[in-house]
Amino acid sequence: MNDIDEVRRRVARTNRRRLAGTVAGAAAIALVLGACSSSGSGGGGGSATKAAGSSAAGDGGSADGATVQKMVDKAFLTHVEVSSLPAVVQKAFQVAAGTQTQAQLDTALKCWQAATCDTGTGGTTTLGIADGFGDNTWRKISKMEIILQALQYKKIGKITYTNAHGDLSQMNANIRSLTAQGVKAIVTYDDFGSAVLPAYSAAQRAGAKVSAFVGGIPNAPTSAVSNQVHEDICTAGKEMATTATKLLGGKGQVAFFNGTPGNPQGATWNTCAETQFKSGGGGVDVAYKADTNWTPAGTFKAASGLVSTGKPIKAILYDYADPLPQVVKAYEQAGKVTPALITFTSNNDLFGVWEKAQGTSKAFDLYYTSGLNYQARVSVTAVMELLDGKSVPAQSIVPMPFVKATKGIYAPSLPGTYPGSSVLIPTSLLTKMLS
Amino acid sequence: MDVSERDRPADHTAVADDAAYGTAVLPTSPPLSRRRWMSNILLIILVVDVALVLVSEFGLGTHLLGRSSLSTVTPVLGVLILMSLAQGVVIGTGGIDLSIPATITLVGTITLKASDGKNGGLAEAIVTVLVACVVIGIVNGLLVEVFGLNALVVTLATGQLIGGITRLYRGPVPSVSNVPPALDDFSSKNFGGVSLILILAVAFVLVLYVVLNLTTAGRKLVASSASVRAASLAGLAAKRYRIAAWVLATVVCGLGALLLAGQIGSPDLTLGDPYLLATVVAVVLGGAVLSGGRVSPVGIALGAIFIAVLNQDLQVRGYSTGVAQIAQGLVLGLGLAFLGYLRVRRTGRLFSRKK
Repeated sequence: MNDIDEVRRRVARTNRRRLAGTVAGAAAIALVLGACSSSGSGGGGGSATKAAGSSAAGDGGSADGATVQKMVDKAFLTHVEVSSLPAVVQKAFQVAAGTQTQAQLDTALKCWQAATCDTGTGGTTTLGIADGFGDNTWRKISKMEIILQALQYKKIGKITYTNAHGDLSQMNANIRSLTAQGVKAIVTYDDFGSAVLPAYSAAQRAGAKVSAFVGGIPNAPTSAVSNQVHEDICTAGKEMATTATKLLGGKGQVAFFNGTPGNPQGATWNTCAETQFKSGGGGVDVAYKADTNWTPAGTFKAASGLVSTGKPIKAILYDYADPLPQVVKAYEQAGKVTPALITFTSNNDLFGVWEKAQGTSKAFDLYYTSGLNYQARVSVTAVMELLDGKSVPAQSIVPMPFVKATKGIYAPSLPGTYPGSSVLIPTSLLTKMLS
Repeated sequence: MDVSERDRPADHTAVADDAAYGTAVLPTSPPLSRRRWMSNILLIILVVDVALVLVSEFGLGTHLLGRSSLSTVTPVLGVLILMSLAQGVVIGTGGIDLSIPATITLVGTITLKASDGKNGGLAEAIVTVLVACVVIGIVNGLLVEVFGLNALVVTLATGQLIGGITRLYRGPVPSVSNVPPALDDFSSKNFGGVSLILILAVAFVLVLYVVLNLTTAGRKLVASSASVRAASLAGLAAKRYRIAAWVLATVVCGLGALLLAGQIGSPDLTLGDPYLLATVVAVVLGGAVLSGGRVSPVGIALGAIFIAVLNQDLQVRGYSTGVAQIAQGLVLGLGLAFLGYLRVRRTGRLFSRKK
């Protein structure tokens, strides 16, 4: 798959250069574009976008390269070359960027509101969604991303959604139920780690393909989970540390906020960030660590504990943006300026409190990443590719660049729990979802 | 609720005898020995609280008494006191309310949805919260007191029911995620670092103490809570009062949850999670017996202070929530064992009498 795409990209580049060469007035532009393609970065990714657009999209969607690149940039909140992404991720964005009719959007809304729905394509494949905790806005948005991606595949005739509500036994029961129903394509957000692997294995033994998105399941064999789409947590931890080091000028105290006690994600990014701090000269000290359970109340208590230490913390590093307004609240109640916040993911409420503080004595720095919901789309493409007999690597690792907050990021018309502008759902559909 | 029928066989006999002769006499002031016993318990927990605060402040590096710390610790403490009072009122009847976390979460959701996040809708939200809490209290009370079902099982079930209703009511993507600014501002107010929530909670403790100990209605409630049989024999509509205790508890819980929602600002579906074990521990530390009877609002407040300060210490020291849960479990176990030991010393009995 990768080789085919590369050939197509090269053909596209050649065609564009020939066209440029025949138009004298456009010669300079062609040279610039040619330079861009050879460097592989910058310049808006012109060549890369064409390359991506030239390859076939999913069996339902197709888009030109510029549209695909625009979608990638939106999903990552910054420019990321399409060609730099794993092949299955490129493919997923090509499919996602394909045109969708109003009828498809209507079907998407219907499917999003129901546990089971007919996509109307007449396809024989049933896509199963196994969500470990599908009760927050992020998961609901991800569900819609999955549905929209699935509707680009004519082979998918039915979508079945299950929600374990954070209950492991329910999650196992849901996977078994999907298997019993003959579901062959399963995408999952696994909140329980390896505890669900036996159920996934049973599903795959029954002929299904399973892809998990966001976070990754440590030590999951491909016999249980054929594909995992996730960011490189260690790299993200290092990037957070690098951002903090630059922000603090190489010296100062920072705090780590984690989710549930002992979760592997936290352990990974904590270790990598600490390593990065040490390699940066050791001037930045991790003076406080706290679990938050990823809840608002837990985060407020963690921030309260941090205030009670009396330590001059300059930055808080966290792996979830949603509860961070509680940190701002705690610091404001304590009459202190909020330290810089560097976090995975993004959240509209957080943007709101950040914007409100700008221009006042309470202003603080904020660095964040994409909401990551797009990964759910990649999982759909991965399982469909696998069912087509194509080769998909066990790990599809995507970058997670951090961006600095700028004015205008807050969307007052959208819910506070909205995961930010990286969401790929069309605005018209989003409005209906939120109404 | 300072009346405990099982710890006061003489009173029980007197009430029963009076009822038999048609001259019902309400339990009045408790015997001196039991009052002294309760006073001793309160004194012990007060001393422990003071010691813990001093150790935290000067030994563990938790700057509890600083303005900045107080302003973030006291709202949490205030909410915990209110929730613990709610649990305490139910425990006073010999029951236990496991639906408190679900009720708190429901109240948080009502606060968002009914108000639409606007100040203009706050009154409607408060009324809806009160109505919902009264209904929950009546349902729990009827099932436990009239149908004679086990309180633990009933509230476990109603908790699930409330949780399901909350999810349906909240909808897939809540269009509003912040409480009305007026509620947020109100709950965030503090005076010299001491949260308004804590001030209200302390005021409520005092009001509850006065009502339960110095008013006729309060004494009837206490008598009915402590022993339905003795109170019935005394001519009281005991079950009605016991149901009223459930309603009172749920309303207190609802008001506490309203303030909690304001303090958090953006209540979610995990809002009530921390208030299951912590409330029971606070009540037990306050000198209550889980099988019912002896409950003191002041003792509950002191118990809540202990839990809040302990949690803050663990938080400051960087211990995980798992350690905090272990600590709370240990405190609960040790507290119960200590109370049991005191009872044995006082009465010579290991087990209390059946009602």
